[in-house]
Amino acid sequence: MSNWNDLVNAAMIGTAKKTVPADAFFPEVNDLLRHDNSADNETLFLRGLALSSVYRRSGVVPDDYGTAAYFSCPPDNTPECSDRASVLLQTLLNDRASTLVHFWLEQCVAKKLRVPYRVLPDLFDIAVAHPELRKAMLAAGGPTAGWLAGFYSVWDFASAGTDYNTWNHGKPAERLTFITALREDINPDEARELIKATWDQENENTKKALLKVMHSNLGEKDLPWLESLLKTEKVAVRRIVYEYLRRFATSSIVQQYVQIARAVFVITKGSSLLNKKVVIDIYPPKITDSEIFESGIPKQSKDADASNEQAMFEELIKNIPPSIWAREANLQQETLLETLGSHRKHKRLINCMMQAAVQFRDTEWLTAFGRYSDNQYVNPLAEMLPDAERMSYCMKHFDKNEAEVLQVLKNTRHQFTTEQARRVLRFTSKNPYQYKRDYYADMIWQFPEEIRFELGAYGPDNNNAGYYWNTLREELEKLLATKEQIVKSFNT
Amino acid sequence: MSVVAFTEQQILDMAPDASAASSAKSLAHEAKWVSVHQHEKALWGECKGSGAKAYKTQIDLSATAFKCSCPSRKFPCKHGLGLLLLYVRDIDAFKTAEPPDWVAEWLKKREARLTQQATKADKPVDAEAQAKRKAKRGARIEDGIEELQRWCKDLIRAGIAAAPDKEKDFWNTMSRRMIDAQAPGLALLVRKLAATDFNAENWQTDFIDQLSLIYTLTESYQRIGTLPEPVQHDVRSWIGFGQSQEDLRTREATRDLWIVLGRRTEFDQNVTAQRYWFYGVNTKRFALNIQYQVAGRTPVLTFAPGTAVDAEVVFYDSAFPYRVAVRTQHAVTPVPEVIACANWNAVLENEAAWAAQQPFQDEKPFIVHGIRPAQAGNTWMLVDEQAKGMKLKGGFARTLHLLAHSGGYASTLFVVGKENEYEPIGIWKSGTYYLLGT
Repeated sequence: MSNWNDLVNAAMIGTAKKTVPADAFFPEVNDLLRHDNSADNETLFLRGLALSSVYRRSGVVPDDYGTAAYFSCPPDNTPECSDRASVLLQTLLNDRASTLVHFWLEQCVAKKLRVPYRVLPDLFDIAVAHPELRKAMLAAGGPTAGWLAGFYSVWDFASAGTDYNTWNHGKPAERLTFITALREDINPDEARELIKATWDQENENTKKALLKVMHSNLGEKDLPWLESLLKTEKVAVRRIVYEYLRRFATSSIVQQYVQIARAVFVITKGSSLLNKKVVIDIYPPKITDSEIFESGIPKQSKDADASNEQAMFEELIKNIPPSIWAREANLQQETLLETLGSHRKHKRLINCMMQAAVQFRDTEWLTAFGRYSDNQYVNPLAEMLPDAERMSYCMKHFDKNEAEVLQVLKNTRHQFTTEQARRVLRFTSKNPYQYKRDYYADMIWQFPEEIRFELGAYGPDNNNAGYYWNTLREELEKLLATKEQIVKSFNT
Repeated sequence: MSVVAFTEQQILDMAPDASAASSAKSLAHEAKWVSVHQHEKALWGECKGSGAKAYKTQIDLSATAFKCSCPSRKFPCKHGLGLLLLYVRDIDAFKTAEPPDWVAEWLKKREARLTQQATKADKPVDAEAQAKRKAKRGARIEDGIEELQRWCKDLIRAGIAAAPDKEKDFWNTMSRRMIDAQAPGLALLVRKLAATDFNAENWQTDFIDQLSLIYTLTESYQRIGTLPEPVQHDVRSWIGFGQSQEDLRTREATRDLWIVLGRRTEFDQNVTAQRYWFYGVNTKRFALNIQYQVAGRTPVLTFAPGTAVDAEVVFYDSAFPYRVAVRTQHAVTPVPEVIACANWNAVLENEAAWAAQQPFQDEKPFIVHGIRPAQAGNTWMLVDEQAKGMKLKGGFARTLHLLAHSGGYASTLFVVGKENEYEPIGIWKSGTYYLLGT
C-alpha cells in the first residue's frame, strides 16, 4: 500500500477487521514509523494516517487544465458609468429599491453608459423578481449581461429568444419562453414564420398559446397567415384569430362588417347653400352569414336598453374604423360627432366610434374625440395618447377624475410640471391610505425632485391620517432626494 | 483617524447581518437625527427612536469603535452604522463641536483602558493558588485527552464507514466531555468532525484529516515537554489554552499598513467568532484577527473589509505566527496594489513551508496573480497563467460573482483554502480591491 486511497479504504474497513501492514504508508512515513514498535495497531495506524495526511497535503501539485473551457466576456466599448452613479446603484440594489433601480438604469441607457460588470449578479437577482427591469437591465448591462446570463438558467431571460435549439427540442414551456422573447423583443416576423412552420404538428392548446404569443407586435404582415387559419382551424382557435383580425381595417372580416354597416347606416348631408343639415338614418341590420356571428357580433343583446338589432349594429360600429363614416359623408369629425350627439338615440354611437378609434389606434380620431369631449374625461383616450399628450390631457381633466387619471398616469414616463405635481399632491396627500409608499415609488418618474422641499405644505385634515401622511412624506422625501442624486450622478 | 476612506459598501460590510445593514441605510438621512456632530476624534448624534428619549450614538474615530444607548444586542447597531453612513454621504450635515460630556467621558474611558492595557503591570499573583489551579486543569485535560484518544482508536478500530450513521449523541457526548476537561479547542474540533459533509464525494479524506488532527494534538500534548517552544504554544492554543493577555501586551508590536482582505462570521453554540484576514503591505505577511463574543456582547474592534488600516498588531506565539491582536489603529486608507504569488505552484510551496513549521493550520490565505475561472466538465476551476488549476470553492453564486468581476479574464485574487480547493474572497480590478459577493 502506498497511496492515499489505499489508506482511506483501510480506514473505512477498520483495524478490527483487517490489520494494516507496517509498510502501509508513503515511503517517507514508513521510515519515520519503522522504529515505533511500542504501540497497538490503532495507535500505529492513527500515527501513520496523521503523518500521511500532512505529507499528502504538503505534496499537492496543481493539475493541468490546458483543455478546460475558458470564457471571456465579449468586447464592449460603451463607457462605464461614474463611480458616484455606481455607488448609488449598489446602495439601491442593497435596498432592493426596484423602482429607483429601474429609474437609474434608464438614466444610464439614456446617457449611453453601461453598468459596472461587478453589479450584474445583483442586477440579475432583482430582475428575476421584477420583470419590468429586465429590458433596461439588459440594455445597461450590454453584451456582457447576456454572456453572464448564459451561465445560469434562472437568468435565462437575458438570452431567451436566441437559442433556436430550445424551439426545436425544448419542453413546451421552454419553447413558449423562447418564442415569446423572439416575438416581443427580437424578430416578430421570424417568430411568426417559426410558428407557421410547426403549426400543423401542434395540438389545440399549444396553438392557442402560440396565438397568444402573436398578440405582441401584431401587424399587417401577419394578416395573410391569420386569414388562412380561418379555413382550417377549429372554433376555439378561430375565435382568437377573429379577435386579432378585427383590429385591421384591411382584414376580410372588417370588410364584411363595413359592407353590412354601410347598408344600414346612412349619413346624408344637404348639398344646397341653404341646407347643410346632416341627417342620419339607421336601419336594422340583416345578418345571414353565420361567420359574422362567429367572429364576435352578438345575436342577442345583453343590454336592457338596446334591442338585438341595435346591439348587433353597435358591435359592428365598434369594429369598423370611424374614419370611414366621416370620409363617406364628406364630413369633419367634429360635425359627425356633434350630429350624433344631438340625437338622443344616436348618442351611444359616439362611444362605439371611440372604442373603434382605440381599436384601430386612429390618433386623428382620438384627438377629435378629445376636442369634442372637452368637458368629459375619456379614459381609453387617455390610455392611447402618447406620453406628453396624455399628461396634458389627463391634467386638464384631473380635478374631477383624480383616481382614474392617476391610474393612467402610472404608465407614463413624462414628468409633472411643478404646478401639476402640486395639484396631484394636494389630492394624494389627503388620501394617504389609498396612495401609499408603493404608489409614490411607482410614480417616481413623474414627480420633479424639487417638489420635496414643499411636501410639508400638503396633508390630510384628519389627525390620524396626518400621522400616516407624515411617514409617507418622509418616504417621499427620501425617494425624491435619491432621484435627485441619480440625475446628478449622470450629469457630472 | 479619518473615516473618509470608508465607502458605503465597506460600512455596510461591518453590519452584523443584512437586517442591520438595511436599517442602517434608512437611518442615513439627516431627518432621522435630532443632531449630528463631529470632532477629530469622534462622531456623535442623537437619533429619534420609538421611545421618548433619542438614542445617543457615538463613534470613536481613533479605532472605529461604536457605542449606542439603544437596547439592540447587535453590534455595531443600526444607529452606529447609520451615523457613519450619513457622515460618508453628507459630511456637511455634521457640525464641528467639542464632544459633550457623554461622548468625552466614553472617549476618556476608552483611552484610559487602552493605555492601561498597554502599560498594565502584572498584578501580584497568589503563586500557590495559581499552581493549584494549573495542576487541577492539567489533570483534567490529561484525563480528557486519554478518553479522547480511546474514542479515536475505537473509531478507527470499527472502521470509519460507520461514522455517517452515528447518532448525534455520539459526537455531542465527546464534545461535552472535552468542555468538562477544560479543552474547548478539542471540543470544537470534535464538533467539526461531526459536521463532516457525509454526502460529499470525498468525505472520507476530510474525516481522516480532521481525525488525524485531533489525534496528533492529543499525542503532542502528552509529549509537550519534548517539543520546541513555539510548537508547544501552537499545541496549547489548539487544545484551548488562551494566550496570556499580559504577555501580548508586553510584546513588541508590528506596525504596518494592514489590508483588511475579508471577514467571516462563524457561529458555534452560543459564541460568535469574527475572523478578519489581514495582509501587511510592508511585512508581506498574513494575519488573522479573531474576536469571540458570547451572544449579545459587543466585539472590541470592527474593521471594514476592502480598506487598509495603518495599525500595530501583536502576533500570538506560534511556530508560524499568524493570529494577531490589534493594539493601535492610526488611519484607514484605500487598499494599495500588492505583490502576489505568481501562480499556484508558488502558493503550494508557501503552503508546504507553512505546514512544515505548523501542521495544524487547515485553511490558509493567499494572494494569487493571473487567475481565470474555467470549467472542466461540471467543475469550476481557478486556473493560473501556466494552465494549472485548483477547484473553486464557495458555491455557484461565488462563481457567478467572480465571472462578473473578472469578465473571465485573468485577475489577482485573494483566496482561502487548502490543497487543491480554494475559495476566492476578493479581487483586484483596475487597481481597486473588491470583495466578491455570495
